[in-house]
Amino acid sequence: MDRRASGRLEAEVLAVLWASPEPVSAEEVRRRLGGGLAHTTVSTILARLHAKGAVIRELVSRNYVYRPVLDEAGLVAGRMRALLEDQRDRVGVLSQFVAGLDRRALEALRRALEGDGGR
Amino acid sequence: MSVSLLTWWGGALASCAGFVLLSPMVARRAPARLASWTLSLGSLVLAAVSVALPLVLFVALFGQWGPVAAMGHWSAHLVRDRVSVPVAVLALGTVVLAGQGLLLVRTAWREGQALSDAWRLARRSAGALVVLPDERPTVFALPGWPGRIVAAQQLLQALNPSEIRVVLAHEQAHLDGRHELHRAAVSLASALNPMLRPARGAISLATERWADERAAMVVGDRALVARTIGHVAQVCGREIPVSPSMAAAGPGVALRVEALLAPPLGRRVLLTATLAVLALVPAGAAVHALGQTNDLFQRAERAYGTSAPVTTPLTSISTKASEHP
Repeated sequence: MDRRASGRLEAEVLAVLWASPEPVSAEEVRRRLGGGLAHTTVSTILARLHAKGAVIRELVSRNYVYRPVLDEAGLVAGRMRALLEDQRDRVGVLSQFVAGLDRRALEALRRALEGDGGR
Repeated sequence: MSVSLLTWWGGALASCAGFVLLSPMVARRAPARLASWTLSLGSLVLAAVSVALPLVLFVALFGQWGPVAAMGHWSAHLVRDRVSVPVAVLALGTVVLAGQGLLLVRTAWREGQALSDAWRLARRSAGALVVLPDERPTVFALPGWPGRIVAAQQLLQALNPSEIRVVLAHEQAHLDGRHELHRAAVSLASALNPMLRPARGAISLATERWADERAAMVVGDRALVARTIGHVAQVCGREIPVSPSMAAAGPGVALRVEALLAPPLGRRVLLTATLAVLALVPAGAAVHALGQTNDLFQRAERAYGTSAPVTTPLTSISTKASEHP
């Protein structure tokens, strides 16, 4: 597994942990990620995240469950948001996944997706 | 020099117009990566051309000026004789050049600050993903070395795991492909030549489509990417206040979905090649103009001192002094 793929998986694992309302076991993370990942791969990533202090773990009935930790970067969240809002009125270097949708744009989007035949 | 110079100006303006007219089509229809590179490099070339032409006028104006010619050791007379463009036009070129310089500095400052802010923030985070708790739903790529993905917890909770994979793969593609540099390139180019401003919307769409295509390759399902865009738009759309200028970018989301659901595109060689030619032809003309200017000044340097200019009292005095030590 090259470094880039490993970084991508790390982000996916973190996203799964943040999306879940309660702490999650390694097996549950593996199940939610899908894509036939090995249990050891997921455990390795969770161990690395734990070592970095990005997640905390606790023992629940002889199994570890993991919970994400708000890191320092999360605390400067307000500044990231400000950075993005600052360039809302122009086409800047940063881009949101979707940005600036008005009702007409949402309508066009719905039509395009309905053209998909509801697959 | 005057007729051909004006022809070049006209040609360059026409090329810019053609480039800007075709750029939305290329952004929508051509393969996204090819479209992004053609748009960003083409914009830079056209911006360089837009600087070269006023630069020629500026050089021709100041080359005629005695003190400058004396410093550079060329004949101001020869330059004045050979340059048949009216001084008013030369002055206009100089004004344009100064304006371009100011706009370039301003845009470079603004974009550079946004980028360096992003880099600084990216350095402060330990993980590949930064999660914003208690924030309006959003997700974006924060460029840096390495870059980070920033997502609001609200959005992650609203998506299922396969949708999360799509969103992360999309943002990772922005980071891996350094898409922010493509955007910055077009932004700087349009500062030098305001005619190129519409290309900013085109590069925005092209880089988003590029990231969509990469995400589709990672998850192996184009329809899933299309549906995820729709879902994220519904989750975020209600929350994002829309300013008039960004509303224009909104339909881009529908265009991205259409592109994902449409059958795979051909290479669109003709369309993209036309765009490249529109950028390269005026570049050739600009290189030619710069070469001619260079030739003119080389001749003026050879003519320096050989032609007998009307002697001013000052030079005649110094000549006498050297004749009679």
